[in-house]
Amino acid sequence: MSGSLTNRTQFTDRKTLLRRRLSNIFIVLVSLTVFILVWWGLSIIFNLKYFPPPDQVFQAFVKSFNVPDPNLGITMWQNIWASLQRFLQGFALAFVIAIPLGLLMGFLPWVETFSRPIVELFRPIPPIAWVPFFFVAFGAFLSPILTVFIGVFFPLLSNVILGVKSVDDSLLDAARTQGAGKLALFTKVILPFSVPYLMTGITIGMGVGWMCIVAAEWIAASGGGVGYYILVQQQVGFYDYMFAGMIVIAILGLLTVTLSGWAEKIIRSRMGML
Amino acid sequence: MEKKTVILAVAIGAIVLVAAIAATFFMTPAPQKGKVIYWIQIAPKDQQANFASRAIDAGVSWEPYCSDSVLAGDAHVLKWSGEIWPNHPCCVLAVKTSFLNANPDLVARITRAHIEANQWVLDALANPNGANYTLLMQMGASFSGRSIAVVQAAVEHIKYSYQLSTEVQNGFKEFTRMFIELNQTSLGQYANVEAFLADFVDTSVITAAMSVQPSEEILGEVRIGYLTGDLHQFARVVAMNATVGGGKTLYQKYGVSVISPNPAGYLNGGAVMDAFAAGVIDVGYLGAPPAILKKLNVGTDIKVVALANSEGSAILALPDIQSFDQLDNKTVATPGPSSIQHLLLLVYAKERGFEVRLKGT
Repeated sequence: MSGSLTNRTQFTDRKTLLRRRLSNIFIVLVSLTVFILVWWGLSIIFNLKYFPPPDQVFQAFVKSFNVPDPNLGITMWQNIWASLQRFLQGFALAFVIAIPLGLLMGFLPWVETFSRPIVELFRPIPPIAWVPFFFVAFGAFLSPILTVFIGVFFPLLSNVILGVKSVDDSLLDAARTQGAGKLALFTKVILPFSVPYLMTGITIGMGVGWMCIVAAEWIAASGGGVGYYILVQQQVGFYDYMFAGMIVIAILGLLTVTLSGWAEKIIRSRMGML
Repeated sequence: MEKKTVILAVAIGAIVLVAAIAATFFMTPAPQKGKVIYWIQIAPKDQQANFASRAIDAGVSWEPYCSDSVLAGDAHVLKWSGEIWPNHPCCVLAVKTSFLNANPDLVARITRAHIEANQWVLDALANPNGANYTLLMQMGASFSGRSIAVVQAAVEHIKYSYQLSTEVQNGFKEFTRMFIELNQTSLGQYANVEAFLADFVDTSVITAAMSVQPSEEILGEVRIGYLTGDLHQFARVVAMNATVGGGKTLYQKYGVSVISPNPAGYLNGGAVMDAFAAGVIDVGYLGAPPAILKKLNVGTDIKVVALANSEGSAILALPDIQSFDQLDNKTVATPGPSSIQHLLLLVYAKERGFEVRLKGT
């Protein structure tokens, strides 16, 4: 009797969940349809070549993947690959510097006292403001990578510091009572506890990174890139292709942030933080 | 549980790092077989710094940025644009068609000031010992932010003229044909290149300008756009100078008040065309190629009413590169695919048997 009740409850829960998911999918579809219809309507009303309708942008989007761009001689795949490489390199650089630094700043007060003024001085500077300097100092190859690095570095650093500082004192006391030394405290308590915060930093950094790469590629980019593609289409007046490039950036940003958010969710759930 | 979590986090980090290293490996493409030049878009104002750091091997630029790199000792001229394409047209004076239709008298007055300024520049250049030459150099240095020595060198390779001669119009046709051949544009509503040119150029304004007389009162206001520090467009700088006009600018002399919505100037011709489209400017100085591209591709309705200059660009290279043929597998900077400098590189590279590819591909 009790088992049958539990089964029925579970069935009802699953049904409710399914209904909620279907309803959410429906709302998302309606939202996208409304967006496309509004875009279409406005493009018809204004009738401007630099504000093309969605069907024209869609055609340009498809063509950009199949036919090399006449201005650059490469397809959108190659542009995506060029941007993705820069994104990963900038991200990796931020990853290897921000995490150890953040852990040290959170764990050792004197490191924080020493580093904080420098970090706080640089943090408010928008990554894009560095682009002209990076371009002249490091050239077209390194400049976009370094811009992504700046964009990802600070959210990552802040979240790692936050993670270390959020460790419950009772956890630390318990570990100390068990005889844990500084190294053990760091590796067995602080480091694992910081991981979910680190993942939050990565998710934020992913979004910022794509914004940075577009701006950086606008100054100069070696080997193309989606940001550079957008700029060139604007310069020659292929606005349908320019919008196609913007959609590609949106998709790439969405994909990477979703992927990172998913990883963050898994880790938080494993840590019992959800 | 904690151990697994840390392993997962480390695994994610490792994947990112390995992917980044792999990306670095793939980012260096294998050299191409055959003669290839790799182009990269770098604004002329930034080319000197890139020569200095040897980030580029060569560059195509307009004056004063060519002379800037040469006088700094960072690069030397391989070919002047006049050697590649003698008398090729370059910058033009363009007017928004709706403004021209509504204010033909004001446009004629602006054009008259442009013609007079052009003549003043030619007269000043003809007498390097004269006071006007000194004044011209000072104006050029102040406008471009370069030294007088750079300006002196720069003006030597620019041909100032306002005439929309048959040769100039044939140059516009050639630009249009080249862009069509490169699939960068199509004629759209126009039956042929001649029909496009008939809509692109209005030679009647110069004729009307010739009969314009000075005016004691200001008859109207015109918003003007131009490129940052570009000495091809010296006529506008001169027409804005009160000393030249004897106490008032040449524009004021002909009854026009001129304002510059973007005093720092626009970075390229495409941006000037966008300013036309956005309704920010009525009159603009820009290169003919971006004007052609945006009129055809975007429908920005402008008319070219006068020429500003011909020639005045160059292919420059690092001091140790002695000939164009040594640019095989080297990096050449251009202002971008919509510029005349980019077209000149394509023309000359083809002539010398080179393939031109985007750097990094």
